[in-house]
Amino acid sequence: MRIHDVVMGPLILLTGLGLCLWASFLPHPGNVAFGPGLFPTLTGSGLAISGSIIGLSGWLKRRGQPLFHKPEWMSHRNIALNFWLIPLLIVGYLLCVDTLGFLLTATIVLFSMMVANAVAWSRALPTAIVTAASINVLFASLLHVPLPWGPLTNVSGWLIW
Amino acid sequence: MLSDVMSQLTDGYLLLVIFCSAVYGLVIGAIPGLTALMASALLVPFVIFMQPLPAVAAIITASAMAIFAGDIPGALLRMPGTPASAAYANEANDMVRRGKGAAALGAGLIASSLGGLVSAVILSLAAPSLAKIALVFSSVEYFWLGVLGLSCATFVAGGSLFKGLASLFLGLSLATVGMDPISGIPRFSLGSPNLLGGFGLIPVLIGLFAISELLRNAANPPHADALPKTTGSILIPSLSNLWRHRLGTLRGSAIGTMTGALPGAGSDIAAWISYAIARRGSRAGRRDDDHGATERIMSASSANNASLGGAYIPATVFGIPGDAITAIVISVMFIKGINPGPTLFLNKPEVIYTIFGIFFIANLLLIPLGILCIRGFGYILRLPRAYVSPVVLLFCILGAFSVENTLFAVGLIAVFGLLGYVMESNDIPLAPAILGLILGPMIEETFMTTILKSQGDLGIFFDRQIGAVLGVVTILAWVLALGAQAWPALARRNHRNPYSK
Repeated sequence: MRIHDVVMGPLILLTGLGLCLWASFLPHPGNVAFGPGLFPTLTGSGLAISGSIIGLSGWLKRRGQPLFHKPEWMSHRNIALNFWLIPLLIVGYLLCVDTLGFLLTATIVLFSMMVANAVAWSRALPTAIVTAASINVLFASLLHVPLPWGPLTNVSGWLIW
Repeated sequence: MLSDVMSQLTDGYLLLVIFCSAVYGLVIGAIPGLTALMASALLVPFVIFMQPLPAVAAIITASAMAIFAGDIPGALLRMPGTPASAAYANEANDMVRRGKGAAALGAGLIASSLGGLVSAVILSLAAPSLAKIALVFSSVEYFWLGVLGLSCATFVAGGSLFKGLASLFLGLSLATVGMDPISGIPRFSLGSPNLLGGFGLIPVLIGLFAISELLRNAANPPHADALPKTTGSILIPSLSNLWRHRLGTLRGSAIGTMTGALPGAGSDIAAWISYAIARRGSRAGRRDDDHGATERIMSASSANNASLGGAYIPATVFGIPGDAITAIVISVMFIKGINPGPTLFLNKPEVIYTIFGIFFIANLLLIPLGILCIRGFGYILRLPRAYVSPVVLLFCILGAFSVENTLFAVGLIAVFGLLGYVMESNDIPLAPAILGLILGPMIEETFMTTILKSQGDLGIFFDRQIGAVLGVVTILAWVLALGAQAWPALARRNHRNPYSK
């Protein structure tokens, strides 16, 4: 996803200006000369200056280039699905793991991604179950990470040592 | 102290961790598309649960192995496994096509190992002396060192200087989220308790490097050609090559260590510099036959691994990482209570020398395991991506969760993964952002402490001798970098307008 510098520069400039503005509203403790907003104002100014120069140099070198360049993979449905599936599965994990528990959610994540990568579902399902269970044992039993169990809480003892 | 170091280095658990992380590093580094940086980032969630020394050992070993392993797909498939192997991938691939695969890979392996060992010796000798100097440093010197490190990292990041600076300021701005280090007032936390402590480093690292790499691989699936064979002995010809190309290898090791010690100049830059010097500056390296190619491969490959040892000099002495891999090592050291800096050499010298010893062992272990990896590369490459990518994604999710113990961190990896993908697609380098995030709190704290001490008088930054020297060097670096950026544009303008003079 290529964005022309004419657009990217102002975006960075606005981020920097926004940061400076936000920093100016931070409360100032009375007993010290410089408050918590000083350093963010400096970094925000740096962002704003860099953004202006990127935008300006993009403007000087424009020569009719498109402002947004759609990458080739976006035109291929399967590749686009594989790409967007990654953030979607992370968000899905975030929303479901407390309700479904780690084992079920991880199995769904692994299964969905394998099927999207053209693995036959009859092979993807057992692989996903075995991999999720192994990872569950590794993190819950060996590394003592508190993973949720959801509806499988009653059988959690089988996989926790 | 020597007996303490030896007893720690011969601990069975530590050696097992070194062995396992060596195998892990070789496998990840040998898979095209998975870098040494990703290998190190993915290891963090596991090492968090280990004792301090094995934790640091795991990251150091895995990164050293992965840097070498990147040579294997570079030579056999012309697809460098890590950016550091790109300098000589063509040379090595040409040798493979001429049926000299074992010689090409063996030369790279033995040179990598020697480069690592030479840099470990220089590291062990130079670091303690530098630590003595660093003991007299005040907040002014640390401020300038931090700024110098960040500046150099940005100037050598490649591409547009201003895009590198935008990435740096983004990282520094992200570092200001959370409580102000001086007054304790929350900043930009949106009232969320998850942001009071700032952005967790590990979720941001996993997002920017591992998730964005998964996204890139999903968008551009790599295609592998038929795998050429590497038959014949690897070790014996490599040892005779080492003797024939000893000068090139030692020169590469020295260049690599020096380049690695400069903040921001990583193994890829070291390999390119050493390759260029071997190509133009040595009689053997100028030849266009196998002999010349071996000289160039050995010079660049030794620089490649030596730069890792060099990078540990500023990291252990000043606590200032030079690149993203040492940034991860530093983070793990901080998390495990081994605070890098000059006092570490005074208070716990046995710990720091054990860490140097681990680097020695890792580079020695590289030879036998590297030979096995070259022989078994076909099996590694046959690991189907359709199965590997989902497991890597699950490890990323669990890695972020297990370090921060909150689902908020899992959300962060998705956000920073997409941000990393967009940044890289638009030629905005990622390393300055991550170094800004790591060094931001130190730079802010030293800057605020100094300026509060002087009641706003900026002259304090040049009052002390070492501080003034570091300040002038930093300002000179900025002038040179901006001059180098502006010069071609001015030259073009003058060329277009002959009457301008």
